[in-house]
Amino acid sequence: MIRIEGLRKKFGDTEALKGVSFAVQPGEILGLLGPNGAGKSTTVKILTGLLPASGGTAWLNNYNIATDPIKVKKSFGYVPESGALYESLTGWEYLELVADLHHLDRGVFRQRAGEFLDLFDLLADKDRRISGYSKGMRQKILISAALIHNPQVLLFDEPLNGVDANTALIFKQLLKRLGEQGKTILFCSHVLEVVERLCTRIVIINEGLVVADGTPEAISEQTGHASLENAFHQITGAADADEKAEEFLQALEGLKA
Amino acid sequence: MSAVLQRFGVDAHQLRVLLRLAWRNETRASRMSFGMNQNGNRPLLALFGSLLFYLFAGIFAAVLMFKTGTLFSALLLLNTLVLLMLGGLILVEYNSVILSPDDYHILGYMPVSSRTFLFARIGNMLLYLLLFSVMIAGPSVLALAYMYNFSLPVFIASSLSVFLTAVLICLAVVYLYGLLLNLLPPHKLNTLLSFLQFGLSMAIYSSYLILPRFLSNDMDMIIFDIRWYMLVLPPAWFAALADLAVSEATTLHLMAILPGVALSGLLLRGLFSRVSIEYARAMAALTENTATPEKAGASEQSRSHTFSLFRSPSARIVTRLTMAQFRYDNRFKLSVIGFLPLILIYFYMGLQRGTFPDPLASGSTGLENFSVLYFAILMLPLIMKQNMEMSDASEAAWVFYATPVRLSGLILATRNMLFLLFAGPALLFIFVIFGYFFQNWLHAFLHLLTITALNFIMLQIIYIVKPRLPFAEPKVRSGQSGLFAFLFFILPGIGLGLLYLIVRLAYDSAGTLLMLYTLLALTIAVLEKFSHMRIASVAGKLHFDGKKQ
Repeated sequence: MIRIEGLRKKFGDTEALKGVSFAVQPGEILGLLGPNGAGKSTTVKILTGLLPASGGTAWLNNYNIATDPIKVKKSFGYVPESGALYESLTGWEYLELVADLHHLDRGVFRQRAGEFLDLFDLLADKDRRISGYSKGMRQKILISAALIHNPQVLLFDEPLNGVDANTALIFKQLLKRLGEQGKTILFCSHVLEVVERLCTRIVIINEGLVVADGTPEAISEQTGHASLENAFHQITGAADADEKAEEFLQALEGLKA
Repeated sequence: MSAVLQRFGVDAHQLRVLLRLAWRNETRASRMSFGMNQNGNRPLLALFGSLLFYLFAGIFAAVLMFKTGTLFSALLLLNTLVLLMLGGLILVEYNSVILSPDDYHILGYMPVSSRTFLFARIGNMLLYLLLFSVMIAGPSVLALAYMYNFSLPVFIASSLSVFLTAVLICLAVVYLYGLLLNLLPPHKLNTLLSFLQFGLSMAIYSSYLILPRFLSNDMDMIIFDIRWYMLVLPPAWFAALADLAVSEATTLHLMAILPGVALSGLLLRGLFSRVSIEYARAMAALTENTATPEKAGASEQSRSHTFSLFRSPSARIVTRLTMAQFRYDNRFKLSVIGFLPLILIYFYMGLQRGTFPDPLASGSTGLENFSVLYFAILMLPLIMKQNMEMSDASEAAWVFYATPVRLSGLILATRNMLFLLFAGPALLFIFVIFGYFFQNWLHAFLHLLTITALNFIMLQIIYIVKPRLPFAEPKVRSGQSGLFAFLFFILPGIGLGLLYLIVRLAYDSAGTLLMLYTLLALTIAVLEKFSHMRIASVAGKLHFDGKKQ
């Protein structure tokens, strides 16, 4: 499980997180939503130990990330938004690296890596350097690496970036099955439809604060909107989309004139 | 071994994995690559070139060893060279060996302890250290063994002395990085480190001024006796080991070794607390966009005026990109600024051998004393071309392909802007030096005209050989092809030869001078015609692969 209490993060004078609290139970797929700069990625980076928190606490599998970072890191799999990989390694070597860092048995690694790569149609490219991979292929490697040690907690930050429709479908099915198996899953994305369809619960962050927490239906109901998209716009205080589009068009016309 | 490492809080299995990873990264992605990299270049040649360069310096030092009167003096000189060269090497060329900012983004969320990470970094560093130390100091150690009748204690003491000095400088550099990270914000540290690298490079170049003087035949043997003040000189610390080997050690020798051992221990202890995944995080911040946004105002306005001077859109695009690169890329900035002190150093080198001659008055007499200076001047456009091609933001070059800009026009504008913005001011600076020493401004102008023409011709040739878009190639340490590397040294050499020929044959009378300038103008015109054809042909084949390499 994941538990966050009063999480704060300051970058100089800017307060990116102002006391974020929520929990994700085993078997739950939580969608973390928010506009750009809301604090989603900062929250995930603190959970993964990539950033230290300025205040508050975060637990994964009952380990505190600040005091037990190694135990926490052993227990989760993560697909980072940055998509950073060692470009000079081959796809197979990267998976081997991650497996080795997690002390995974060689036999188990070979079997799992082979199956994952086969599932993602990457088996033929396993010995090619990652620097020659497309964005989608890199993302497949990252997803495979996050799952290779079969962790109890999964953290996905925009995992479907650059992934084709077929792979996305496989991934979504996989996510559902993992949730059913009792894994704790945190899913960050900008794509509201995917989150709405996949996640059992949604947390919306805006300006470093949790502004909504509940099932997609409950959030829509609270705001009196039929769709999550409109509810999201209302909660995050976004300007009217039609109005904005009109302003853009006027600017274009103005240039022509 | 695993148990010992475990006592230090190191995971032996992970350490092995991280060391293998570092080796793979370095051998495949950089100068150490043993095969073709993504650009299709052969980094193995670059590696051999680099090792050969340091071996050459090592042989030079070995010759110097024969001029030393005592083993202590020899090792004092050798350790000074090792300190300077290895320090510069790590700071300028191989800082990725200790920094590796990618580690934060990839290893930051893996279950790797800070201790394991530190051991992997230091282990990787020691490997490089060994490789380059052998090149720099190996010939000298062999020379010393030969000088002392193949004495095994001398060989062991010399090797140990050099190795410990090398370890010390490496630990000090890593520690310095860690320390500064705690004191300064990343963008300031980035600037400071660039200037530090620049300072060290200058120190190395300057050392070439001093060392040849030791080799002059009329000089006596170099003898340094150990003194109390040497206790504060890092090269002396482990040089004192030498006298232990030849059984001439005094209390002072033993005391001289102590600061080195103590400092190494302290640095190692300090590193345990500083070099960690956290350290990698801070290092990653250095490589990200750390530049502080400038306030719009007068400077922005003056830049607008600069751009309005150029009519063609291509020239404006290149100028805007170049100015931005100059503002935000410290390496680019220093390579431009760094040229002026280099000119002064080489000029000073020439002056040590004689006065600066006016070739229009005295012909080629005394010109050979300033060959290095002229060579550097002729090399300037080639150095700048390299800098104008590569950028950390090379992926943004898609914009050249997705907009209706003419690629050939952009390449030509890059060449012209390079000449106007960088070679121009540098040549103006040289003109002032010429004028001051020639005491004849007309002569200074005419001589400068010759050099400017030769400079431009070389730039034309190098652009015919390798036409490239501005800042569209990723920064790689082994980014140049063998042919380019060859031309890099050959072209200025040919230019220098031509200059000698011109001074001998064409500087006699106004008539020959007129013929010379007509010939140079014709050459430029023919090459220009050919440049346009070649660049248009290459531009038609350029494509954007969109991959970060």
